[in-house]
Amino acid sequence: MKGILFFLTLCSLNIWAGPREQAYRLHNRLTGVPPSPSVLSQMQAQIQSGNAQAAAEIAMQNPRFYDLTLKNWLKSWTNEDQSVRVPLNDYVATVVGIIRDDLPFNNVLSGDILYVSGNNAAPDYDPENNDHYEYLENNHVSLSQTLQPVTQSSVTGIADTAGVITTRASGQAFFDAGTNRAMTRFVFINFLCRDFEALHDITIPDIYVRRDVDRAPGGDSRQYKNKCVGCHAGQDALGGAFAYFDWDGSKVVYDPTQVQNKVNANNLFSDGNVVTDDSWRNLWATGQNSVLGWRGVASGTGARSLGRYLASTKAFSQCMAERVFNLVCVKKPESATEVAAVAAYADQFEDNNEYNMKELIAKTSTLCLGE
Amino acid sequence: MKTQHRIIGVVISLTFMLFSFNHCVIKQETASKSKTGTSNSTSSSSEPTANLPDPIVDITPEPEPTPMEMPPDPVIIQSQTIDIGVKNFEQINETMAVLTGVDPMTNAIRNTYRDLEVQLPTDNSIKSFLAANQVAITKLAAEYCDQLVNSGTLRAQVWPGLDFGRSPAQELSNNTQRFNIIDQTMNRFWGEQMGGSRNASQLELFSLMSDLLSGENLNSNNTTRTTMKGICTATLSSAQVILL
Repeated sequence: MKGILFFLTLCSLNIWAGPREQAYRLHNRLTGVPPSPSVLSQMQAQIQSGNAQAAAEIAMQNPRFYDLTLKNWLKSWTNEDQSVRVPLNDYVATVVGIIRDDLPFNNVLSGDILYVSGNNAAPDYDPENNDHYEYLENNHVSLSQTLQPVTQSSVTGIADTAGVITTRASGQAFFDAGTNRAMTRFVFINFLCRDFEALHDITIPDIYVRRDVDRAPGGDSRQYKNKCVGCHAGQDALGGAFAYFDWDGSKVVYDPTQVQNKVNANNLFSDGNVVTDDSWRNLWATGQNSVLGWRGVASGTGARSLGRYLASTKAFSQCMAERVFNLVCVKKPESATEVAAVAAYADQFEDNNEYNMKELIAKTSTLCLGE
Repeated sequence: MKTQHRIIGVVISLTFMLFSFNHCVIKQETASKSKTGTSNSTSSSSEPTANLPDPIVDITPEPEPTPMEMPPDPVIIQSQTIDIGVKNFEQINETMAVLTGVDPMTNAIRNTYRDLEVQLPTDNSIKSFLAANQVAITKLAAEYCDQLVNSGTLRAQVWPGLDFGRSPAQELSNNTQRFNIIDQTMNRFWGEQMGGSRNASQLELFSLMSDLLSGENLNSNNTTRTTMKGICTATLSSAQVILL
């Protein structure tokens, strides 16, 4: 049996060839499952006529594009381990809903929006547990067919909602314990495709570095000046946006009247910055990190304004285009052609402030149809 | 006294080090001179630089390789791109459900899937695909095929001409029947008119079918079912189904 399987594996590696095989692969990548014969023929005809994007759009009509492909793609964004082996949650459902409804994708970090299922058998959405979404997943309830948008602030009671940043899943993963720096970091990782190491800049002032950062780790102040400050100077200036948020073990807590205790709790350097409100400032807007393409005023107040600011960057569009390429082509853009195409699609993605994720996915999927 | 011993020790050490150093250089110079000496025997008088000291050579000169000893041309390593992926655990489960028509929410499938879920591929990277993943895929395929073959409605959609109430002696007795069944299986699980390596795969599946029937009771319809489960499992767990 093993020999047979091995042989079949070898045989099948060589089968990609014409438009029919390209259509088959395209459908598999966009939906996670093979097409029916009729859909395959439709897609094949579109590819033969030179309109591969139309073929992709046919495949994307399959509910599994949302229920399987997008869901698994997005799950890894919702936890620090970046694992897809986590239950469905409000973060994932909200992004799936935004994509399904063709809402401008830059709202993902600032919109007062949440998606819940209209399935009657599912328990109601509760900001204190994930039962609603786990029911949907465990009972194979289609996201594409049952998701409905609701006003996030009306169901969570959080005034400063910021798209997925303030969802329950996001709070559980990134507001839990610590000092909320994880939220800033993972927003950068997931939506700007850059961890703080890539933004390391020791030339900017450290006036916003908090008291909990040791100025002489191991008794050596050079360590702080040459390493620590490179990330903290920028991220602590931005992280103030989340000063009013916390995770209490079951739900996201938001108190607009005071900074959460944990933010200023540790005092290793008493002259360090004390966070007094939820204002933020982008010190990375100039210098080496200006390459991220910042747009708009580099300061603000609260999570929503920061989310809107981050999603307006050029890096956001580029990051989404690269992530989509990785999703539909199962690799990173490598050749000059691929890199140029992804850059062009990133430009088109943000043209006229449309930020149409479905269109980006359909276009990008045509870059790797196979020979 | 101690100071004298130390001085003597230092002198000996320095002498040894200098000797070692010069020994090395002398050897190289010798090699260099012996090489240039032969060539200078005819031209040294005409070259004004012949009396200059030989440059210090850091490495021992190697003899000129003969044509037979020339190393092969260096292989230019080109970047290789991998443009195939593998389906993850949930995509594999859904794919098998779609291809067989078996409801993935049936108890047997759900239980098997839950047992195997962690052993199935986590992500779409072919680089992280392991033998253990393939084992889990085969087990899951076997469960789906069991459900498929045991369901009269579903199996009729995959193999419309095959009567599972009849024995292999009646249904799988000749090559035409067998290849017809294999074609139906491949069309269903791999797609119709797909690819150009089908003949080789057909022969392998034909061989598998022969092996599965060998030594079995060919007059029992149970043998028909078990044989078809084997064919189904091999096809459903193949790379054609799993690759992305």
